[in-house]
Amino acid sequence: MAAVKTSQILIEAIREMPGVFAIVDKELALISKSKEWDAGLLSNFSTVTEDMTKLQLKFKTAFEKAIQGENSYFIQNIPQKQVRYKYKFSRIDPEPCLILIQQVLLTRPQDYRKELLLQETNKVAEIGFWEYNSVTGKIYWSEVTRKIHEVPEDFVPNLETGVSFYKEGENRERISRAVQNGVETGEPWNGDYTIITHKGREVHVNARGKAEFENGKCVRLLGTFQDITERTERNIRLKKSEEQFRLAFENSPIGFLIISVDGFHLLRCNRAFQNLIGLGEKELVNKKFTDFFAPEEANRYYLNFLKLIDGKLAEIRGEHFLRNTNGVILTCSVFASVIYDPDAKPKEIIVQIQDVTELRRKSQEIDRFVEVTTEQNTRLINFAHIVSHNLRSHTSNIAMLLNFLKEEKDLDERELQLDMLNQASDMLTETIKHLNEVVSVDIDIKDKEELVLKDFVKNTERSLRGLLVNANFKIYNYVPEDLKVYAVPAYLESVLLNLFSNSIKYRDPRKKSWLQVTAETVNGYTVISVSDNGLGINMERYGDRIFGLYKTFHEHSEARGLGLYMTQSQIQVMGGSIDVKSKVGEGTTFIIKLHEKDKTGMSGR
Amino acid sequence: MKKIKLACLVDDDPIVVFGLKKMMKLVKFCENFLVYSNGQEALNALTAIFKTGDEIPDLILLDLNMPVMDGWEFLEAFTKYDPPKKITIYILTSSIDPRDQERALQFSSVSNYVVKPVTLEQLEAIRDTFSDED
Repeated sequence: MAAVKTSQILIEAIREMPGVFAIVDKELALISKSKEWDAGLLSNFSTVTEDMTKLQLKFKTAFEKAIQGENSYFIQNIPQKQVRYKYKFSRIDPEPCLILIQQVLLTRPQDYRKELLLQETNKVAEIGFWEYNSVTGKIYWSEVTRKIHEVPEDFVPNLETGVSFYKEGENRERISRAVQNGVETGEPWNGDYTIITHKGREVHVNARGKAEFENGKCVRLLGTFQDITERTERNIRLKKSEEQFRLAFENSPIGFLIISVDGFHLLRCNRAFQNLIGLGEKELVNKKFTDFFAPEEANRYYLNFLKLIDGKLAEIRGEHFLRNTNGVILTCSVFASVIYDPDAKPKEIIVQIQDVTELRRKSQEIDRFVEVTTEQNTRLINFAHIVSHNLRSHTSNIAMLLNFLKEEKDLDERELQLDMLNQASDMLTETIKHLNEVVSVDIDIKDKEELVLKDFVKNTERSLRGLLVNANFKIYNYVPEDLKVYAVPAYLESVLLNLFSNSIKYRDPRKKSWLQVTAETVNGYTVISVSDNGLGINMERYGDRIFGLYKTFHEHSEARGLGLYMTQSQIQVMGGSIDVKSKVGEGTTFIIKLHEKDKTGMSGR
Repeated sequence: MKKIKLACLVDDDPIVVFGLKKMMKLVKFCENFLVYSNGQEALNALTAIFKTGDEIPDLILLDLNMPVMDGWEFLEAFTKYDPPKKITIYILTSSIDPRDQERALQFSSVSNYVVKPVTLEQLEAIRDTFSDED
């Protein structure tokens, strides 16, 4: 053997060569192969079946060309693996015919185009791409990936540096594990990591990746990088503000609830609302919100909520009555508004509710106190006026008479002056008694009772019997049998007595005198009217002073100017009012308005 | 020197009327006087006097707090009349309320406001200011 054939050397050499090689004869019998050549590979192409696949055709064409001594190739595309192989054929010996087949893993031009496209879109989305070819050992970073890592133009990444960007510790260990796992099991990875850029900046990234296999062997690693620093920080901020909202929602003293737009069912509510209604969240959820309103308001509220959703109402705001689980009606300040989803469709209704029952009660109490204080103040002013005027008129008379007496010698005259002094003294005593009556008009709510009016009229008539007989005066009691009035018994007696005796006192002697009492209930008030056919009062002249203190309108010896003042004071203190209609020569009607019953429901408070 | 010929006293309190009459005599306040127990009486009498041409009082001493028609009403009503001769009005009252005094002096016909009890000196002073006029 003079010379060893080239083919013979090759047959030997490829056994040790890196790469995927095989030498076959014309009949596709394997003569020699490299270590990486998959023994079963050829059968994929050469198995003769009825209908040959495209690939088998390609193989056959290329192989036949090679037999003719022409170098040829075909490309096998395995899209499901995203891998392409180029099979090169060349004849290394014509006789016996030996063909060298080489399998090359392609860095695919198609994919580069894809990558370019991706780069464009990824630039917008700031998604970087990377690929590691474990066959060539080459690592590829897209522009965005480089930007995220803040590496200089001339930076050449490798597998170690790639990992070393991950922040030391948990992050680096986690990515190493994920990649390791991916290489071993094929499981893709997807996680958020912190990396330290080339410039030393801490950046949050979302890293995804996977390993690709060829014949059970990892041939590529590829993945994406996305800078999520902003998103992460935004998320942290969002979480924080969500937490703050949650805390506010949960712990606010104002009742918060979220209700659905269809049917207004309660979705969520906070503690304050649960306490207000007196039920736990579990019992409240899915209840219809409008059912919490007092029955007479529920329907109106339902309609208002419909309007709110239709956008006919921008918000619901106001004070309304809610009913808690014990049936107690609460006065609540309610504010409701709609939350819209991104498509501007009503999503939920958020409602804020505050129980202001106590507040309202307090404010009503204050109003009442102001009213009472104002009344008392008026009485005090009147009182001061009487002290100033009426007491002084008597004391000045006394002073004057005493002055006379000092000088007076005439015995008869002295007698007269002493007599007057006595009168003045009596009048002073009388006035002091009146003033005492005026200031003692004061009550507590608890003194009031529900009284049967008809009985009181009867009793008053009885106590005036003597006067009535003398004056031939008739009282007609037309008060309904069971009609009640909420009043202080002593005051009601005093008021009736005073009005009746006024009617008798100022009766018209030319007529057959009478008075009639009628009463009815109007809007929670008992309205009593006392009419007579007496002298009447000139309303034009005295109308504004009729209930004034020490005002008298008739030349009558018994007129003290105190009665109607006292009557009005007593009625006002009981929370009522008195009005008068009169015509000289025809008669007078007093109309008294008092509460029918204890409307506050809190007698004794 | 001009003396008060006729004075008019309007007061419902008989003790005041008694006292004033007595003191008026003492200081020779006037030659004659008329007494009315409230504003209405006084107004009725005075308007009658204006009509009949009887002697018109030079001076009215007017109490404020009276039944039927009080001093205020009398003043309101009286200012509507145009008496044939000037009548001076003095308010005599027990009220020391400054608001009453202020209100009284707003009437142009009111010359002064005297708080009771009226003393002889005060009556003399009124008499004298009266005589000093013209």
